[in-house]
Amino acid sequence: MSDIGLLGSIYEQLRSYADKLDHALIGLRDPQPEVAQRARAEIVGLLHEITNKDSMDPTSRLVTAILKQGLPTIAGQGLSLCVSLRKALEQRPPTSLEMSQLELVALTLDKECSSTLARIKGKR
Amino acid sequence: MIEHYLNAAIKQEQERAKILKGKISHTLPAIELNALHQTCQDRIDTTIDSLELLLTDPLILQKDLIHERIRLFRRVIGDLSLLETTAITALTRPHADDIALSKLAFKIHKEINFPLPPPTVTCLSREYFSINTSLRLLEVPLAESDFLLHLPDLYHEIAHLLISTRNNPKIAGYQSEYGKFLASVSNYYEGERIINRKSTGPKEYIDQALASFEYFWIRGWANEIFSDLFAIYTLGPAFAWAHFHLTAERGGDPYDIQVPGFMSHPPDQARMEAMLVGLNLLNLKKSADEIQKIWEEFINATGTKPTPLYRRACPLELLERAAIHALEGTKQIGCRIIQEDTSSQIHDILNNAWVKFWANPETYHEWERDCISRLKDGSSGS
Repeated sequence: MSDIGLLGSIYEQLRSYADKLDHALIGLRDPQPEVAQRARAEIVGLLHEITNKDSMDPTSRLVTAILKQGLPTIAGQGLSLCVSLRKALEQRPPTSLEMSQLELVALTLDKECSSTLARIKGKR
Repeated sequence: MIEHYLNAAIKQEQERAKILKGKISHTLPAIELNALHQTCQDRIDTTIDSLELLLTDPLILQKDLIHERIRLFRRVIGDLSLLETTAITALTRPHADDIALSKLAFKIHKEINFPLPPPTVTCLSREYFSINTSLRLLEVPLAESDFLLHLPDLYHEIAHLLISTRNNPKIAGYQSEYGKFLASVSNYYEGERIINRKSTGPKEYIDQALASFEYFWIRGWANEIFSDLFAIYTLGPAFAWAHFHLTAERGGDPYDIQVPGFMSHPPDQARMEAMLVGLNLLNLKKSADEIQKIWEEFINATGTKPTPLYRRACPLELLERAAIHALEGTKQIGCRIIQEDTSSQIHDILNNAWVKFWANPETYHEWERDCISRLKDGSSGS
């Protein structure tokens, strides 16, 4: 497969993950408690997938590898940030600091999506 | 102000989506384009609905959700733009060669018992062979439908669908073997990092290099090597010859490792090594030996040599594991695994093409032209 094809496949996988996370972040702000709680559970699930060292899911492994590379430069904490966020959200709704950290994770994925898309479209 | 801008931009893009839908609303020249046409119509509708949500959902319109709204908006536009420049372009400019290659992809799908629908093929590629897995659109260069020697790459391209397709129990066995392989890549490099930390020498540099290799494998190399191996298992030696041909014509240093940097594809040498392991697993030793001999002769002729990092990036252990997992995955989804006596129309044409090419390069092109012409008009071919 050419670079474009491979990048397209990566973009698809990243995009679906980034969209799920953004929709869950929107759900967290929903005034209906049950919707916000569902969104929190969704985020815990997503964070669990990418921090599970035994995962056999190819998309999770790809997202993990990307966050492992991308997060240290943004948050300085790498994947351990995702682990601590997951643990906190399992117990309770996020604090404002944790909300900003979740935003950083979403932003990292979004940056990777847009740079992958730019490369597909020839902007290297 | 930004909210006003976003609202207007979203409405503009909704109009754009509708115009694109209009551009593909015409009678199709062949049934082979139906699936792609329907996918485009559905995608455009989804795009319009997603944009409508970004325009009207009271929760998304909250001021503190502006980051999410912008990110979602840009991704929807990214999707629409990709659709416009690939599938919609192909549908507005269909050519007889697209139909011929789409028919060929269908025949391959039947011959090898491929468990997913075949892709649509377009001859509008700006690069080499490539597949948009989400649209199931396989792109090949304009003149490729008039030659046989690179067509084995069609098998490699359709294999990418096996990794990208989600939630399909028919291919779970293949994906599980792929997942196991990715896990073994991480374990392998974790082990290497531990060894490195105990060693003397430039620890930090090697540690970064090992992290890069793991990233390369998971981000793209494993996908490429698995797809190479699928092509070997379902077509046979012709695919390894096609890799030889591609490397000889367009490749660079087959051992090159770019660290620091990013490599989307594994080095050509590693791909060939994995294919040879695959052919040997199928007991096609004679073919493997022939290909290896000519490959080595060619690499020697280019004067390139392995770099010190090559074997660290592409250890034989991982290439062998990939070959084993890919074979198991291909068996589990019920695809036809080739043997010495396998025979079927497309398999025979593509493998015979390489036999004829080596046996008589002088007259090969004449034979190829005749074969392609019969293949395109639907008569036998080989």
